[in-house]
Amino acid sequence: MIEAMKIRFFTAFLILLLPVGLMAQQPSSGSGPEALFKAHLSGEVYTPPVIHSGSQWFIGDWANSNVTLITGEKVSDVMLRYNGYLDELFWLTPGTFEQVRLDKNLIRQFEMEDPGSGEKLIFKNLEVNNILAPGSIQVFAQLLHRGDISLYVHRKIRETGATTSVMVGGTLVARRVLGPDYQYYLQHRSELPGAIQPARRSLMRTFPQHRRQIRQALRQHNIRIRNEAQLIYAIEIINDLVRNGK
Amino acid sequence: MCSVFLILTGLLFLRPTASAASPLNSVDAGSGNHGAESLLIHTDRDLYIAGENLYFQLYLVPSQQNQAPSRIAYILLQRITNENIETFIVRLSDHIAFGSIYLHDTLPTGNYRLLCFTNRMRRYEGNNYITKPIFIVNRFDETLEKISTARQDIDDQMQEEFQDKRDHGSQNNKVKISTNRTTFGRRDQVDLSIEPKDFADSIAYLSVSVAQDKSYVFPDHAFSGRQVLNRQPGSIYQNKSRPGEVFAETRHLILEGMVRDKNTGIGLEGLRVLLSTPDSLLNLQYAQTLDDGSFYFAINDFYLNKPLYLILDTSTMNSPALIEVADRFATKGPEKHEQPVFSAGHDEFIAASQEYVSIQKVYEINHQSKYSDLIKNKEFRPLVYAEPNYTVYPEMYEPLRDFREISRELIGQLRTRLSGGTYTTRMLNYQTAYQFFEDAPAIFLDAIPVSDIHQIMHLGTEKVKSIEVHNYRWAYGEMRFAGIMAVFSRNEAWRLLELPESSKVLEGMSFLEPSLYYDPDYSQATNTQATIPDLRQLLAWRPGIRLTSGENLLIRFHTGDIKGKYLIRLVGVTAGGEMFSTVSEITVE
Repeated sequence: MIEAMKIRFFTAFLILLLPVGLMAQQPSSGSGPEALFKAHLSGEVYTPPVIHSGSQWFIGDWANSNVTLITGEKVSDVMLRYNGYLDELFWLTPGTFEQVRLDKNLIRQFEMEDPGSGEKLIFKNLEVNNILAPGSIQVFAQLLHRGDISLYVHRKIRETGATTSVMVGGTLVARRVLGPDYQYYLQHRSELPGAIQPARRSLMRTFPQHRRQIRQALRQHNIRIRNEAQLIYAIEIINDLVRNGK
Repeated sequence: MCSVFLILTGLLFLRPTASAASPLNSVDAGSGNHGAESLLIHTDRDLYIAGENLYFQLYLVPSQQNQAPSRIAYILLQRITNENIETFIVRLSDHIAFGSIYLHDTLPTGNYRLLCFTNRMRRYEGNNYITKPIFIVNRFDETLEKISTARQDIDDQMQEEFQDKRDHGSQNNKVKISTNRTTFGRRDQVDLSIEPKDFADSIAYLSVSVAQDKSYVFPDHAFSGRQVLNRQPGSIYQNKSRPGEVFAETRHLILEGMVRDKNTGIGLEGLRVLLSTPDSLLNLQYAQTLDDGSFYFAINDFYLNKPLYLILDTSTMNSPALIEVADRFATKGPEKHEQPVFSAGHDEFIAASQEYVSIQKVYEINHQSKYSDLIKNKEFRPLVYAEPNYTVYPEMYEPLRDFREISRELIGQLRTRLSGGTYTTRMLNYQTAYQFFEDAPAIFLDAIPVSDIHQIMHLGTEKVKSIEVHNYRWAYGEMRFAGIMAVFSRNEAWRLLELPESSKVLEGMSFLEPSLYYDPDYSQATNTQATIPDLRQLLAWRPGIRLTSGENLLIRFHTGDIKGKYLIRLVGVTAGGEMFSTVSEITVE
């Protein structure tokens, strides 16, 4: 009986010691100073009003993200979501759960993890050719393919022109409908990105001097540019052509 | 049943505890004895005349525990009383820093030393800091009493031992040095070849000095730092360890301090300390005090040479508090000072050196040259906003007497009321355009937070350059502002700000810029060089030499006009931290 108790207490003693041993083996973490010397996000405490039918957000839910500021400092593990209607990035403050419209001019890029697919999406604060007026504009554009020729998409959300009626507090209210209107941009090395449509003709117009090679390559790979995935594939092939000097 | 309970209890403990995850506890965990980061310092000479430059090379022997090496080191010039005379901060690039320290004319004759450490080394207290003894003679000291006194303590045997050590170095065959001849004429060319012999590591870092033999007066000259490198586990290092208080400066300078209760002196947790510097753009950093009241800021290059304002955020204060800033240079270092070994000929040597230095001063000869490849880290302002919502330039309007008038006439978004001798301000919310925020806006003068608007009320049009109005409810990290007004003055009005008692203003921090020793090249002598006396006692000083295994190096220099025996001293350390030195001799006739 006494022997059995001894064994039992010895086992318990070993179990209690186990975590101490595990903690002692923990490698020295480098995260300490970074946690203290982190940069701060900055922006307006603002909740966009709901005045449309449809979502303003590229991804509806808050996504765990990292932000790189224009200073090069990084802010990690923050909850963000991108508003395609305003082309603004919103931060959900920890603890107080306020929505903050981040100061766009202080952000170089952000990287968010799609809560649905777990995919890492990189957005850059990019200066692009304005398609509506002369000059350039600054937009948050998602990087779809990086290479000599990089492909970006501005996940724009805009009013479709249609209206719908919704009940708000017992009253029927007419609301304009929102829908995605993605705009693709191609950037050759560090040149100002130019707009492109996800269509073979648009691609040919962008590279007039390589028309024949592109047409051949697309035929060879049996690519018909009808959607985003096909456009990305086409740009990959064009990058291969550029790399091989064709 | 009892076993199951005990197992579950044990499993509960498996969860990492809060203290294990605490940032401070995790820093440098496990370091603290054998293989910790250390420094090695080598100077051009041991004996100097006040008014000369001292040239040094600092080498960081990295920790053997895969920690990122420190990039910042501290050098203190101390008297024998351990009193600091001057303090320097140097940047290490590829583990090396070199430069020069001007020894002021007014320094009295005596024993001095350089005390070196990194912030990481501060964990182990001053006794493990690296020291390099030097002896400085005042240029106008004719009695040289201290030298006679020092000489009395040296017997013949000590003298011989010292000379033997001085003249042969460690001779551990890591490198071989040789010159094209052993005897040279005045302004003659000397070719010094350095041949790596036997070092296991493929790279070594060296410095070479060529100076008159009597310029070396301390034994063990080459090995300042050896005692630490050869330390054994279980030494003083373990006992002096202060984990959780010191960060390694692997990128930026770190400003550290404490916030204490004014009455009890106890460290206060959770207070917000604001850091800003006078500037033409609104910059602000903040830090939250930890459980012991300590706070830390990373000081990037933007803050260099600028006054630093540390102000407590009153919204986080419950009782009167005071900010204390840790003084990195408040260290005495080891008590023991090494004694110089002077020989009989030193009186004449020093008298001649004093004269040489005086002559060089008359001719305004300075051998210090700036190092062109300066290390500069990225500097960035921690901006609160990229652009203000509105900017008002008062000079574009009729002159206004004071800020109350400016506010009333020019800043429509600001409401300032005087009631019972106290001003209250509120800012119009941009989002509503008709509602004022309930709280007062944050006010800054030249980027310094102003807690009381009274302090800027005297500013009229002629003193205000611009006023930035940012009338949003603004978030900056955890801080919230009910609008921001940043006033920028023409005449550095921030200097007149009366800060709360709890605040602290620090003078600008700066790095010692690297510099080299310039020695004339007589192979292409110009007439000017020919007529000016060349009274160099230091013929050459070459720091930062990177020697690769199997690759010979040639160093070329010229002798001066002073005849005598010169020692060529090479001090090096392999990439693995093994030190070596070699000495050779030449004569100038």
